[in-house]
Amino acid sequence: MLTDQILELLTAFIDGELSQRQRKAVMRLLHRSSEAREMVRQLQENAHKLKQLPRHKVEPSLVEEVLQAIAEQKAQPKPAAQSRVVRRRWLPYLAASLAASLLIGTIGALYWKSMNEKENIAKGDGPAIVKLEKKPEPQATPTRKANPMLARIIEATISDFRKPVPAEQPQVFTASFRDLLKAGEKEDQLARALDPAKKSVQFDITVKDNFVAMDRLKSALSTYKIVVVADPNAVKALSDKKQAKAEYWVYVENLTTDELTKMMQELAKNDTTGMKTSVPSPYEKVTVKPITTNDTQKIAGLLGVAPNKMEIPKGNNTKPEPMKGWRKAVLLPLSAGLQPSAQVEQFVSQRTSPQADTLRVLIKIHEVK
Amino acid sequence: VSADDNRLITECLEGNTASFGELVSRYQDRLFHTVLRLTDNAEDARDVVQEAFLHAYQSLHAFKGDSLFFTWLYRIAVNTAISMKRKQRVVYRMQPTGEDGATVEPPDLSESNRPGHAIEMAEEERKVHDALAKLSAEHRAVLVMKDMEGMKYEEMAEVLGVPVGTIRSRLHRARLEMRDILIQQEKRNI
Repeated sequence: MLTDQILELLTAFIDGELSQRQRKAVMRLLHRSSEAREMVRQLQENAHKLKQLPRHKVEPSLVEEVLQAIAEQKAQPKPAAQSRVVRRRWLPYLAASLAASLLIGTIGALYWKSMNEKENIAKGDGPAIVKLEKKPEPQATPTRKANPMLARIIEATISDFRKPVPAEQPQVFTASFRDLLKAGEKEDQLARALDPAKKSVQFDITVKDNFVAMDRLKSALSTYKIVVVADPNAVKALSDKKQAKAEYWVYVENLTTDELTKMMQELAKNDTTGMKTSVPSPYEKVTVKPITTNDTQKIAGLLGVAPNKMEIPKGNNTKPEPMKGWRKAVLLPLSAGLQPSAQVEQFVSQRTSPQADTLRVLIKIHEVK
Repeated sequence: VSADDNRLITECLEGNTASFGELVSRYQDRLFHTVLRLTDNAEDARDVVQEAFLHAYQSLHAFKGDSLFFTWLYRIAVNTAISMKRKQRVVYRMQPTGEDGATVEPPDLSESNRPGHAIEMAEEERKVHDALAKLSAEHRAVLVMKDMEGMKYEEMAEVLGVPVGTIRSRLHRARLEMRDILIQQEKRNI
């Protein structure tokens, strides 16, 4: 079974967008995997089919229509927007030139009028009565009606174009689990949020019942060989109905992007939002964002480790191999002032320090108010 | 910007609209070809391309020349087509569903609906066209730009205003989706 990571590599391979090293790795994979070979064959074949689609020409030509629209709308290439200060500097000149042209125009008109009258008198005619004949207006060829929706979209597109292309930053966004994993924009955002170069990701999950949600989370983590070490105070609070509304933090390190995506998929299986089913969804919504510095300091404090021990060393942005064997996540006690429990101390002592190009993940769970 | 484009743009800014006509003539087919694949409808594609040219003319001063004029124009047209397609999709979603609960098919705006067109097109071509039409506007755009226009990831990122990583993942999913649709079509035909 080809993983998502490999499939993405194969896509980039047929697009010719791999580094030499990556290409060699793909060639090795193709040599040993018939499944990968078949996938590449199919993708290449489909790309070829697309290339073969006929090219359509615009007929009749748009030149006349565009030029006519420009003429009709008296469209001008708009001058670049200037700052208010600069514009003000022009004002006196503009006013002076307007006044000057008005004066010249008036003098010219008076001169022309007097000359015309002189000429008519010389011809023996009375004062000229000029009958202006209305020239027939040129028949405008019918043009396509302007589409206001398109105009609005294009205006927005042009103003966007002036903005720099956004850096590859993780974005803060909120969605349901199901939406999050659907194809489209949300998935793109998730992919960006899970970019290992960003090193940390936080899932702030609003749930209907903390206890049920925590149970689902533990189960999803265990599918990927991650056991949740729970602080007894947090466990106690979780089963105590009076404290049920509290917030719970689960922290896990050294996850690969693939592992995390699969884990989210596992969690999304329980999300029945918008589906016709009698089983209610345990989740309301999930907000994805990076772990803040404050949160990192708080986690370090709760674990009893120095904040700099939480940092992920610099890597070369390669995709790391998932760690082998069982790993541990920790359900943190959020009560301030408590010494780390024996369970948390044990988690810290057995902890593998963060590896390059992996993710630190914080999952916050809290009940809907 | 190519020297020739640059000359035409300067002339336009000096008030020579005929030079803009030359730019339209130069790029209209390439633009129309892409937009037609995105909108699925020749009339819509024509509208989008015409509006894109008109607005490009009005915003010519904003064009700084740090990218190709065609890329700038292409970006205006492609993003307009994607936005239009998205808006159309929202309208379709609001259509009532059939008695069996199945979603009512959106009105067929494709050129393939034109009488006689199916006969003109080869069967294989029609299948690819239909598969492409089933993709979301975003997925369709990346496939058209990559496979039909032969653009690089970086150029596509510039046109769509998204990071290269997004192009990579979008293309990856678009290719897999396209493959699944074509496989389904094959199964139905057997």
